[in-house]
Amino acid sequence: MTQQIDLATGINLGLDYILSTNPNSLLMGEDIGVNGGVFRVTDGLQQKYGQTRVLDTPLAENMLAGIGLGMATRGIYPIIEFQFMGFIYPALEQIISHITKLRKRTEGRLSCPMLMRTPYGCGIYAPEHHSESTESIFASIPGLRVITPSTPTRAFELLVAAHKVNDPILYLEPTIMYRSLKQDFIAHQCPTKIDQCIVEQTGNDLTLIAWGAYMNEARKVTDNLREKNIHVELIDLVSLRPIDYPTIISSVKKTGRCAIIQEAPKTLSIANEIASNLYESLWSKLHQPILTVCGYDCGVPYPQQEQYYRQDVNSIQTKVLSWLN
Amino acid sequence: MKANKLTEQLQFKALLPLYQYMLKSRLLENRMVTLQRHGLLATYAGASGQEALYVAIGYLLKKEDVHVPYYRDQPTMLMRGYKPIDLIRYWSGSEAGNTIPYKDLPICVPIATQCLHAAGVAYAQKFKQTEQITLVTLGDGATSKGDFYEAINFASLYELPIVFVINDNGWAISTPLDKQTKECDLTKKAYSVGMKHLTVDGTDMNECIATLTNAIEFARSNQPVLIHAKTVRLCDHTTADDAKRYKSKILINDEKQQDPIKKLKKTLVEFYNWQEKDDFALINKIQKELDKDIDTFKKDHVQTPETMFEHCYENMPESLKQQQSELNHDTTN
Repeated sequence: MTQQIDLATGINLGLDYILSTNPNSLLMGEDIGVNGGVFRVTDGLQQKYGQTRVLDTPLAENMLAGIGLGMATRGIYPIIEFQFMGFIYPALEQIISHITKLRKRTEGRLSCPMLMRTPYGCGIYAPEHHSESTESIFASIPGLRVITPSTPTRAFELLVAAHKVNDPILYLEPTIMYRSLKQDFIAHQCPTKIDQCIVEQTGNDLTLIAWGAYMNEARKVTDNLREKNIHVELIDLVSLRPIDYPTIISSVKKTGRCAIIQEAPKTLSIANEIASNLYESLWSKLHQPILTVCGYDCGVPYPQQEQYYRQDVNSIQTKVLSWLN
Repeated sequence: MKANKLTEQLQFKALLPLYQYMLKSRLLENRMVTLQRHGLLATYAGASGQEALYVAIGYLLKKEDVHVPYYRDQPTMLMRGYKPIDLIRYWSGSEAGNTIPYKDLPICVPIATQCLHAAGVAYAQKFKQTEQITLVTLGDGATSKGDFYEAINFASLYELPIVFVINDNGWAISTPLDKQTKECDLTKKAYSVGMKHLTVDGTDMNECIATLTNAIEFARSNQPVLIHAKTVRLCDHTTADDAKRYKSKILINDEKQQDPIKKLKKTLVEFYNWQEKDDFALINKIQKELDKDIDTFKKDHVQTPETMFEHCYENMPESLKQQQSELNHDTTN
């Protein structure tokens, strides 16, 4: 019988797979052991693998990153959970100055294969600092890979594939999707490349690019527009660094139109980055200027105003239709 | 421990190589400063005044152990397989100098961050049941940073095989220790995390050997130790610094009296009939070796520009390949 899973379970199964197949892998983070993580993503793993492989660590994000580097240089594969994206910032020095530079600084003699996981994004009415979508900060760091799944199955596959890549990777988990989206779990052996977009729907009228939680809205907009005889080529970006430009350019070359939607604030964002590259590559092939539907530059507000910050399906669809007309 | 109570370990046969390494580091340092003044090195941070501590570390660590340095560890690095040419290349601004003979970590420039790397290495050593230890060094200024506290806390909590050595030369560039912290006895920092701690005169080779031997023994039985080693910095912070701006002449002269090389030489002269002519011959021999390294360095090929794209990732992403080819195009046109 096919198992129905949600995103959190997909990640849990992926972590379980890595722990069971790689005896030198371990998980560490705050409250991930006995408690199974604040979102229960690591539920049951400490009981299964013990306290030396699933560590309830002291409360210090910078420590998690720095210790992870030391472990990685000795052949341990550390998987770090940062409890929320808004709490990673103390670790930025370790990530920018050490984790992502070690391979280059030693001309490849030492490297730092490791996975850092964190929930990100708003929509669950959490307190301040718990709803950040600051992926563009991390996507600007040389030497880092940044990936995000948008379905439970993809969450599993991406995690397993990431484990085989010998680079430091930030794995962003769309918080709002943890329990909201369920799917049949079917693709155990399916190899996934972590640095390639996934073209979910083909279409000739416009290319729509999204990632993470906004793939929910993007899928609904795609379905709604099809009823209006507008055929969207829907792309799940998956990898925020590096960005799979060959796939994107090939799609936009075909459709001549591109809309990008993101939860993060607009200024210096991934949406703007993609738009800028498309203008450089495809200026004469574009039928109209690129549409970006982004979060506002005020950043995610307190929960009371979150609904005004996060664009819903109607709002996105209205903007797309108005842009097309 | 007094000089006239030397342990068997420190009989002449053992002591002389230690003296040689101290001298080698000091002479290399002098040459490095000259190279920098001639525009051949970017910036250089020396270790003079601190050689006894670092040579003792190099002497006592086993090959399989892991040394996690900051940027003043030249004497230890020379004992762990780095050649002078490697260090010259590093300070000239080339990653080619970061050779890691024993899988030690490379020089670490941001302050105290290496303490966490070391704790991670030590966790891996214990996890893999290796019987190896990790030794990490840091300056007195580094004890003000959270990384240091986070690392000793983690190491103590998980009972890791690790020694933290604070090289307290009294200064973080121009800031003296009593402006870093109200508590200048840095062993007290270990109290809060329940860690063993020792103090040592880091300019006295005998004391350094005795204290580090104890600490390493503890670490091998998974009892982490913090050592507060008091040293002097006889050089500027780096070649970009001028210590005369913040150190008085009196202090500078006082610090010179603590020179660990002079102290060990005195022991050699008093107890082992070491003579000026022996010293002179040794210095000459080292200088000739250094001449060769510097000649090699001067004949080094400058790194080709496209190599700066290498080793950013295990496999170079397409976007980076494209930028690399753009650079090649720019440099050939």
